[in-house]
Amino acid sequence: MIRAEGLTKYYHVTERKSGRFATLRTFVAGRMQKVPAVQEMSFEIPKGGFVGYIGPNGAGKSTTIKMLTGILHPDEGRVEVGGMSPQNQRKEVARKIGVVFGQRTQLWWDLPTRDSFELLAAMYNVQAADYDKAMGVYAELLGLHEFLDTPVRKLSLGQRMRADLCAALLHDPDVLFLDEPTIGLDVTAKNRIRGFLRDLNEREQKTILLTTHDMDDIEQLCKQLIIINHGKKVYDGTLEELRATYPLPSVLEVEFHGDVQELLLPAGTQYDPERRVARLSFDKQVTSPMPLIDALGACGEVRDIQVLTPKIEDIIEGMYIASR
Amino acid sequence: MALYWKLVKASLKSQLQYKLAFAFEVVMFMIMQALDFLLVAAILLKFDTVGGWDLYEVGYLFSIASLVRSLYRVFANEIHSFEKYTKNGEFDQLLTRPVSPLVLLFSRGINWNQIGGFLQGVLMLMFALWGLHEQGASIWAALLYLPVSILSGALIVFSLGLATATIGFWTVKINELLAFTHYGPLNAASYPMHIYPGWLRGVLFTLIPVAFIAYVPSLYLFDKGGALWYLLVSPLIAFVVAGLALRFWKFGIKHYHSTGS
Amino acid sequence: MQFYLMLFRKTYVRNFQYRMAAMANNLGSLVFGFMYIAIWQGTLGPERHVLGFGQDEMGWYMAFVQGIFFLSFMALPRGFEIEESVRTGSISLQMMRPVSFYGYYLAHGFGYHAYNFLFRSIPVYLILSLFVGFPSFDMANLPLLVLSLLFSAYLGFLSNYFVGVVAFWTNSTRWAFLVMYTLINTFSGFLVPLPILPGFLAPLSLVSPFAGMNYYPAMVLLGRPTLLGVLVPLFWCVALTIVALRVTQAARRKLEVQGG
Repeated sequence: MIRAEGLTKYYHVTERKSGRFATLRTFVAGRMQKVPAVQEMSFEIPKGGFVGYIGPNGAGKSTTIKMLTGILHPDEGRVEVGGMSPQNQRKEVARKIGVVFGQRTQLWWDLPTRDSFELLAAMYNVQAADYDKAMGVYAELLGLHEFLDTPVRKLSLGQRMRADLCAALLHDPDVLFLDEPTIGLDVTAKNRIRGFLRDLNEREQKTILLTTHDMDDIEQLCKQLIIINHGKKVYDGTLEELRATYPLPSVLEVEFHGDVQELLLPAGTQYDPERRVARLSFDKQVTSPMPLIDALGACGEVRDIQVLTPKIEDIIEGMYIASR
Repeated sequence: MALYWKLVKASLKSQLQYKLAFAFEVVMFMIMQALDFLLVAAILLKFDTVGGWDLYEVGYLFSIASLVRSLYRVFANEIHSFEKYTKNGEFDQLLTRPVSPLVLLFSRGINWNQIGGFLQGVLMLMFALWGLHEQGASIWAALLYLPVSILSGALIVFSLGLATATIGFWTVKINELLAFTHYGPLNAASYPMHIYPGWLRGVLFTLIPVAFIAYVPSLYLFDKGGALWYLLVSPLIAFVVAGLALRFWKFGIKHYHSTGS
Repeated sequence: MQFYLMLFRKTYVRNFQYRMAAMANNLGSLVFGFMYIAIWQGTLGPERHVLGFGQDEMGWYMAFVQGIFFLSFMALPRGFEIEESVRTGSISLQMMRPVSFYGYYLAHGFGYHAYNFLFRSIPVYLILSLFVGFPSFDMANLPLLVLSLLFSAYLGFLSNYFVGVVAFWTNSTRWAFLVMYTLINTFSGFLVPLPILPGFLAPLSLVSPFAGMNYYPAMVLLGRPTLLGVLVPLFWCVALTIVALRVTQAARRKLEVQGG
């Protein structure tokens, strides 16, 4: 559904002079420098794919989305969305995609929410019957009925995001681009939107690409993960594969009650005598925690046991550091 | 077109949400323009003529200038305030739609409150033509030519605005530039061009061709030494300028596609 | 006090970031200046006079008011953007700070004024004067001219402050801006020296707060200082300061009662 081949985009930055008359000298003699924002980016997303596109701020996420949606033209490489080039067939591609920028609304600020939907339907030439059908489904799923007649400026952030999602779907696009759709929302609102997106992807086979900083979005939604750093792709695959490839140690934490025979603790154990807590790292892929628990249990009376699994943040952070 | 009317209605609806503020602004724009003219009238009542043109003749220039300015602000205000699109990256959103950005800009906001300036322009025009008629001048040519005058004038103002907006693709900020490309020249167009120093007149006839909005045709219409063909020059210039501005705009969008904001 | 001076300085310095934009605006201002000068020269010609001023004097007058336009509220951010603060709610934080709300904007406003005077008023005045020449100025009037300019700048600040604080009571300050713009444009002597306004408008405008913005300072420059030209602006500066402080108090009370 979406294919990127060797996408590259440069930004041109004027080299700043420093010192006396810096501005004037920059103006007269400043050289333009090419700084890559996205470099040699290739990936493919099948129909019905649900991709998390992640990376730190300034890694090139937005630039990529802008190239996929036809806002920016790549300096090198090719993009295809639904078999068409967003660069050469911008308007045709626009009909096939829905875009939501989490930080900005596409709705008419002063009008009742419903009016924005009607205007967008007219803009995309959506037939009345299709419009009614789409509204029937999405307004129900997203719970829009309670505020359809409220002006957009009076909506809460969560309501506005739901309305924005509905707005992006009215023309029945095959592909959805969501730039940080859960930013700034509370847990309930996030869960509602996640549920909706999962449903949309599974039932209607919509292809979805989302960027996010929220790891729960990724863990709960994404079938495919593309990680970008410094404009380059550093990972492309499933979350499980990622966990398997970059194994971070799980941690076994045992809290004791009463005396502890510290000398008997297995090698590598960190022990905090004040809290009477022992921590031991191990690799789930290689060892099972049971023998370790037995070994620790032999050292004293156990009060509590916890196994801490590595978080996706930790894995990705490790990758960021590695790719630096 | 159906879409356009829908959008027009929507913008009226959204502006009517603040009924009081809306009514107030309409009236204020009327008063503002009326007072602008009143100040000049104060001079003219004392001295009869500016550069040989009397109160009603200057009134005609004034009213045409304010009519075309108001039309532009009513129908293409988003072009006038294009800075918000370049500054906040809102232009991106326009490019994700299956409609050309210029059409979207036109439909984003009909700025109804500037309609006050238009109404005031109509009143002022009636006053000027009535006065000229009373003096025994023939006003039929001016009346017949009025639609052409307004359309070509509005087209010139729009083209200047579009070119200024396009500059925003490079400079991001354009509001300060508008003093030079919009406010200043349109005020200048409200007076006979020959009172200005030569270099300024040169600018107003070429780079920022507001001289063709009202001054050039009125040289013929009010028998100020103009020839009949002057009437053709204004629409011609308007089309040329609009064509150039559109090309520049397209070029600007191309640039935007390759660099973003 | 140190805080206000720092704010003044920081506002002044921050303007340098936008000097390209300011330059573009100066260009527009020059067009206006040449236009008004041309209107007067076209009207007066070599022979006619207004208030005893010929076309030279009117040229000097127009060049001067075009320069000090940048001390008016038009060269300040609209209503100091108090409207935005009210809308986003950050106004409560501002009101909480241990500095005077009024003093804060006073320092802020004069930071703008200082920059605008040096890099906009003076160049625009000088460039226009290259075309119309300079009046012979009696240096004995210099202190008076400086005083008049201070009045003008302060009245410019006040008018912008009033536009801004309207936001505490109404949704938008746009209407207040338009009213203020219209009043200043008409009654400050920006295009027309006030005594030639028709009918009762002339005497009325001469005692209005607007006269101190353009007309009275211009009269000092042209060598015609009057006692009224000092007393009227002085009176308004004092009276409107009291009003502004009262209004600020009322705004604070309103915020405390209703929340941000």
